[in-house]
Amino acid sequence: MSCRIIICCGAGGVGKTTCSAALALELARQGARVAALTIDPAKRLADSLGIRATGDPQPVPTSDLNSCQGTLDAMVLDVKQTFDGIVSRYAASPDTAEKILANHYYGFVSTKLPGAHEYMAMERLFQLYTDGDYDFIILDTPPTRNAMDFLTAPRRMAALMDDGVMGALSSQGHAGLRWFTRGSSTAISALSKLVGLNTITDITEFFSLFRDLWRGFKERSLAVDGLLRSDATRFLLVTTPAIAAQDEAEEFMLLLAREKLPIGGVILNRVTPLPTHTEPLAPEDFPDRPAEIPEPTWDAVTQAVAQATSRAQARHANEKATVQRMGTQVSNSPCWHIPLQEEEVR
Amino acid sequence: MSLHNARVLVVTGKGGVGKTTLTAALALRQARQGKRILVAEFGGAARIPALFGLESSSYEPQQLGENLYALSLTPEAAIEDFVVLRLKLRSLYRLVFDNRMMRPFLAAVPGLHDLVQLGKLYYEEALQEPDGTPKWDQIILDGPATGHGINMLHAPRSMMDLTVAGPFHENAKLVHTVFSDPERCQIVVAALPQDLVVNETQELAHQLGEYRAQLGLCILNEVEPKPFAELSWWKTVRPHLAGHGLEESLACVDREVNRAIQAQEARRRLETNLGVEVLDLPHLETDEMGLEEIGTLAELLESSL
Repeated sequence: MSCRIIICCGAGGVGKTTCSAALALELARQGARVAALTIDPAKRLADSLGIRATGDPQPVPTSDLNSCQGTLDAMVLDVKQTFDGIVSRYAASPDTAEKILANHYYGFVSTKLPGAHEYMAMERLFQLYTDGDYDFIILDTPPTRNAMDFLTAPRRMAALMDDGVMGALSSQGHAGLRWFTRGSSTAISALSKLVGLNTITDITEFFSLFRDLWRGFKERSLAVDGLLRSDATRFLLVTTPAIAAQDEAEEFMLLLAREKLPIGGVILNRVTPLPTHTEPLAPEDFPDRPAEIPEPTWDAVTQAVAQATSRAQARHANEKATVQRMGTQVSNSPCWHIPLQEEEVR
Repeated sequence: MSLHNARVLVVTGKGGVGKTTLTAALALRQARQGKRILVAEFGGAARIPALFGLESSSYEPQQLGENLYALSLTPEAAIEDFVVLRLKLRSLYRLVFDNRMMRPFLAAVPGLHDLVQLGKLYYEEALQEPDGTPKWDQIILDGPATGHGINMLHAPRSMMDLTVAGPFHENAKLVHTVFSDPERCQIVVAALPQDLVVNETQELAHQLGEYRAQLGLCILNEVEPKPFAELSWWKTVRPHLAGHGLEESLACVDREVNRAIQAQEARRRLETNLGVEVLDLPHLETDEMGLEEIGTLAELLESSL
């Protein structure tokens, strides 16, 4: 299995989605079979690639790939669809699967439970890696303040399953189950008085139906965790000089290193290009005003050109320190600079 | 504008657009007007005190400046507050909520964590001075980003539907009464002048559901100033400047013109689709957001609001 996984992380607003899309497209152009997966709830990658927001892989409609061997499939994570699929696939019997899918509490878990989103992303990634036929999988992550949320999802899920209720259910088997379902547990009955008996019944029924699936979840979550740390994966941090200046990028790199996650490098986006003029523009640098352009217009525009130049020079100088630091601090990792584009990249 | 009279403002928007900075600036602006303001952060977030030079945050209001107080909500503190202090059920709290075995259940009860945090704000909103006037003129909540923010707003309703009776049901009803009342609660959404952000902001508005009518204002953040008064001048003048060794500089202005056009387009789309006023806040060229920058933004809000 020579599939490689590239995970693009970074703060909100740095151009991560665009970079992921561009990277995916370029790899496909070079002849690879690529899958681009976005787990961003707002489906922005789908927008930028021009595909419908469903959980199924769809070929990306672009003429760029017409003369290439490579292919590019894109998909948006559909949490519920992924979760339903896992239930159907791994439940003890079709009957059990049906009961789970119909359970109210499951309905909540498969759509709104905090952490489910990140966890299902990992399951989906795992599916694509094992079932799919791709050379590269590019994962675009949500712009969370805490980029580690989704990274730690598999381990948190596995930890949850060793803890508390799950521990009781899985280790004590039927005895543990009876403790909960009988409702004679004081804590449970107290909670049910507070939030309603139906909820508690749904929840306990869900846990008991789900019991057989827990082991599978735990195994797969450990497998994904292993995959994230393996040689098949690389983490790319996407950032900009402005964000990097705030040390967030540095902190994130340290975090990746501490977690022993394989760092692929840094994409420094929107870097102000090195100006060839280092001096501010003077009036003599400009041509004479053509007769057809009114003087106020000419003055306003040329002044704007001069000011824009000075601003770019100042910004470049400002960024220089950050750019250098990004290049050296992660001494083993490459750092690619992407210059500021003239227009919003589509 | 009903924003001034609202008892509670909820600030939301896509992740990374500057909600926290905006919330702090709004709060400072209101405080400078002489209003007693409580600014709140959600789900354990505690960034606003640092913007004002304070080292730590707390669940109870702490002072940031004149007329300005802040608190940081966490589900754990809010649950303890509700069950122990308000319901006066300390032993129940220990049995159910302080109980490790119950943790998966609690995390599981839909909307519970969100509801109790909104509940704390509900209680703060109801607080009165001895003379009967409200303790806070306004409470401003730095809400979670789009997905979670929407779930948070819908939490009281979810809890009401889920529970038929009992203390959480009653609490959910009270919280819902305040948060879903357009006279008392208004929503401010922050966005950036980028296509994808505008798309998501429109989606957010759609997902507001019963709260849609309470969307009172959209702030377009990080807007760059126009390079000159009429963007159309560029097309006429640029050809005359080409070929004089100024290409790089011209490229800089190309960028500025394109960004200004983009901002205009973003503003137009948001105004049309959200049906609310859209205010610009400029991009501040700074390495670090601090009190000075917040103050600048507050002044700008002062003149526009």
